[in-house]
Amino acid sequence: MSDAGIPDIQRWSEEVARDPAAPAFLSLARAYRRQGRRDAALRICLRALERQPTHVEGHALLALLYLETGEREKASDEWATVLRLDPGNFDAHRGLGFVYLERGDYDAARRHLEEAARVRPEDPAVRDALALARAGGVGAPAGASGGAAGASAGADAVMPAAGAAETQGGAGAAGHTASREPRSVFEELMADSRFLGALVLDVRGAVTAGTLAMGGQGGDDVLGAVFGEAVEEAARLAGVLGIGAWQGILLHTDAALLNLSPLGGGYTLVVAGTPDAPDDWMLRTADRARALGRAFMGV
Amino acid sequence: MRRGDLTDVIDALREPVRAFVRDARVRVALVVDPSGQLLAQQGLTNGYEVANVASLAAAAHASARALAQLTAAERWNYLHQVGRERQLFLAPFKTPAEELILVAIFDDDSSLGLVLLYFEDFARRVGDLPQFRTVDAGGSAETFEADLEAGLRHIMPPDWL
Amino acid sequence: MSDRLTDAVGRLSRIPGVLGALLVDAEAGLPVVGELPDDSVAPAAAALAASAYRRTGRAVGGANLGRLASFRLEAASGQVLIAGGGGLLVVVIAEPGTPLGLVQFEARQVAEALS
Repeated sequence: MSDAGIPDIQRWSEEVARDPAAPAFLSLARAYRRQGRRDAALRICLRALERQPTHVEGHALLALLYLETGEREKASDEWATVLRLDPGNFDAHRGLGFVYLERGDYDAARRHLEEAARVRPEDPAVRDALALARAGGVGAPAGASGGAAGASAGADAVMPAAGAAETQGGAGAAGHTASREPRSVFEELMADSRFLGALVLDVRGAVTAGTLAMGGQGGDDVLGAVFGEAVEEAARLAGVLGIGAWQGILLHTDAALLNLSPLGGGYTLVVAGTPDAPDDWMLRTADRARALGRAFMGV
Repeated sequence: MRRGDLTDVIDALREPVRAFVRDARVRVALVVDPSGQLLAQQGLTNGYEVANVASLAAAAHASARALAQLTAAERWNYLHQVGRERQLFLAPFKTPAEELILVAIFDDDSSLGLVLLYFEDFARRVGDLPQFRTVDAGGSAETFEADLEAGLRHIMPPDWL
Repeated sequence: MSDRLTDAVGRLSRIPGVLGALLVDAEAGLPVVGELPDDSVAPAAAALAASAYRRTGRAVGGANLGRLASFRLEAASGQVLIAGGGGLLVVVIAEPGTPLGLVQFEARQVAEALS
């Protein structure tokens, strides 16, 4: 990408002054960022996103700007937003992969970097970082030790290109060690008539393994979003009450007994039973399902 | 209030307002000063609506404050109006520099409790901003219209005004 | 009515392992009556418990998974049980590892009595 000339910047500035969410905001913010005017770039992105909160490239650029000012949490939030809007986004998977690598969360790093590598297998930074994540942080290949900073190295290379990020849909089951069919991971639990199924959800709420034999509307993928809401609110509640990280949620409805629990590596396990199933049966079944889910996912 | 540093103030408020909207799950949030000058807004895309809400908020604040004084109450805390689909929350909060007003509009994705919970955080965060740590000159009734327009010009695109 | 509510909260709070109980206005997300070890957290607990219950209930209902009757959260240093009862929610906070069978039974009784 060539540097923008002054006339371009003037024109973009005028467009953005007339309408902060004008398409030119992205070009202007990128130009300011290249000039080292990060604060100005940040302001332009924030103003545009107020009016266009679903603008994927705006969030991706904001993530980079936060990263460059050392605000890794905010950068991670922005990449997470990008993935909600565009689950296969290369830059967001790559950025989160580097952030997790830096934190020492190798499972989560590997998962994101594998998604990134699926989109751009030739990207050397992703390749090196993936090798590092797979080795559990041991024996870092040269050039892969830059941590999250690697996500912004070669700035323009990281810039999202519209439509460039295309990965498989929800059921990739990246990183699983077993060779069985993802939908049949929990098959051995089906012998119990109270067991209605189980799902493994990834950070985006997409179903990665398992299935539910019950009346959800719109298939299992919709259920992922449903349970994402329960988990999000539970984490907020646990935080404000100071009772530590959430370990499980049990939902009684008149149609089912549902158990949600973290599986590790950013995955969530959902187990469903008949509404008359006792709580302790559910807790035991969820334990067994967790073991099966972890073995399958390799977490 | 007339401000030479209006752009700076508006920029500083952007992130706290964004966080408040996200955490309290409100649809609309505006920050207005007692003279009706709009300092921040998120959620409304129509300049006419923004101008109306800002000036009505300032008027509501003035009358609620007068009523509080009449009844010997030190200050009023908040005003909450429940509509059929949407609810309105209007509350004053103090910063070292001046009093400001938050207006929030929310639906059943949020609740009064949730708004009150994050309003406290929001008010503290704004009070800690360097832009609100020093006392500025007060506004007057004569400057009301000009101030309102100045705020709108900074926050809304010109073709919406 | 308020005596009835206070009695209900007292009954829940006396169950071994229970740290506190709260009745919450489900729509407003505000505490109605409660006994918590630290009263200052009551507004936040009420707001977030109501939000968790409402959003989860709406999502579960929208996905055709039935009507939510209770929401139980287990965390590293505590447990929270939320049961719906008409316009009020019963929120119980307990120590980790406390068997919640009795709590759940009582909370549902209270919720049903209030609805």
